[in-house]
Amino acid sequence: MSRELLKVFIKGSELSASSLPFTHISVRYRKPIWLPTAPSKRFRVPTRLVLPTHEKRELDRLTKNYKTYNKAMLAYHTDINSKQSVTDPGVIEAQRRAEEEDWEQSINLNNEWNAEVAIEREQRLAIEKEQKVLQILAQKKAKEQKEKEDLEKAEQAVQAEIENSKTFITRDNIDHYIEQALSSHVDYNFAIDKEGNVYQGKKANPKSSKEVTSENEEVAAKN
Amino acid sequence: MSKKTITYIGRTTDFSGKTLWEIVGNLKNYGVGRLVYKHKMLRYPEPSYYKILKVLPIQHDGNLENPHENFRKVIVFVASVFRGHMDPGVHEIFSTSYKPDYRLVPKHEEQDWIRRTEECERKINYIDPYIDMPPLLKKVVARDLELANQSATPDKFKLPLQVHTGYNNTTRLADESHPANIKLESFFGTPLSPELYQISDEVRQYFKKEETVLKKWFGF
Repeated sequence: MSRELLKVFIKGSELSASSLPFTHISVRYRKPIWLPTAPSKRFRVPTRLVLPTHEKRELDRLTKNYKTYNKAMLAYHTDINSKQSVTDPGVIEAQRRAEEEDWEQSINLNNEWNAEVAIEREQRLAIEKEQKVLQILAQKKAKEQKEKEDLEKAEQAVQAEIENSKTFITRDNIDHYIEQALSSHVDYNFAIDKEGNVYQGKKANPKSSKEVTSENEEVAAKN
Repeated sequence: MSKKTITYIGRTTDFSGKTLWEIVGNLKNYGVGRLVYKHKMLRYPEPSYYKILKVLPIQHDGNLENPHENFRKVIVFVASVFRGHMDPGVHEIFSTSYKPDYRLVPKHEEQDWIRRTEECERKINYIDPYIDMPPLLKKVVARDLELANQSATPDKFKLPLQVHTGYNNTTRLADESHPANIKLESFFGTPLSPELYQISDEVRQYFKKEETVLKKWFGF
């Protein structure tokens, strides 16, 4: 038979010093209950065992004795195991005590850690405070500086405006400027010859034009 | 043409009688009030029987073509008398009703059965409620006590006995008012058939011969 069918049954209570381990390991192959009867055993009729009366009586007595003994032992171990189980009042009390102790220990440890952290935090906060003061002072100084600069810029702008205001057209001198505008005639027309000379004015004589400029000269002047 | 007979092949039983339905189904009012007994219970000197209180017939569940292999069951509520002692409760016979082991008590014998029951004296045995531990368990307990720094008093090496308290068990645990008249002994105890433990001369001779052979071969 295949090894897969070979099963090892282990059953019993926990291993403990006070209770013997009821561990039964069966390594003999047995046909599982769901497999059919073996073909070779299908038509086998087992012979009935007939025991003599005195032998049966003795065997019955021994079996009864053994079973009663076994039951007593199992009850004894069940009792011990139940005392070790979680539902036993003694075990519950012990667990509660252990939990309390653990809680107390944890609280103490936590307090210690809190004290350590508090010292560190105070030091850190002191340093941070100094840094903050310095930072604020620097910011204050920078702000003052900026305000000063802004004020100067504004002053300059005001001065520039005052300077500009001298050329403003006002109610007093508007007539002067109007006349000046009307009198000054600007002719934007011009002409260009093949050589690139520019002749200003629409009707000006190119020969007498004073504003003749050569493109080449301009290019040369730029370079 | 020879006569055909049925030859049964296979496991045999000690049953002798009819199934419960075969008895009850042929009686007026399903035999309520009548007494039936099992042939198996005749092994006891005291009378053991059932008084039928109520019958609930149920459908035949099985292969009807083979009525000898599929007996019809029936639910019967009975008052049970076991070894001359009646249980105050009502018993239900269903799962064992198919066994062809039941017999009806004839009406003219009923009074006799009841008389025999009344004549029975019920003797209660009181057993010592403690037994000695087996040797290995004793050693383990002794070791545990030593580890726990406890004194090893003799009462710590006793196992309390577990005894069924059913109506048909005549053995009870002994207490102060009822002293024990029996005690469960460890190992083999006192044999009921001591002749089984006696070694006959024939066997003794055979093993003596073996002994000589062993001595010759292995030197012991």
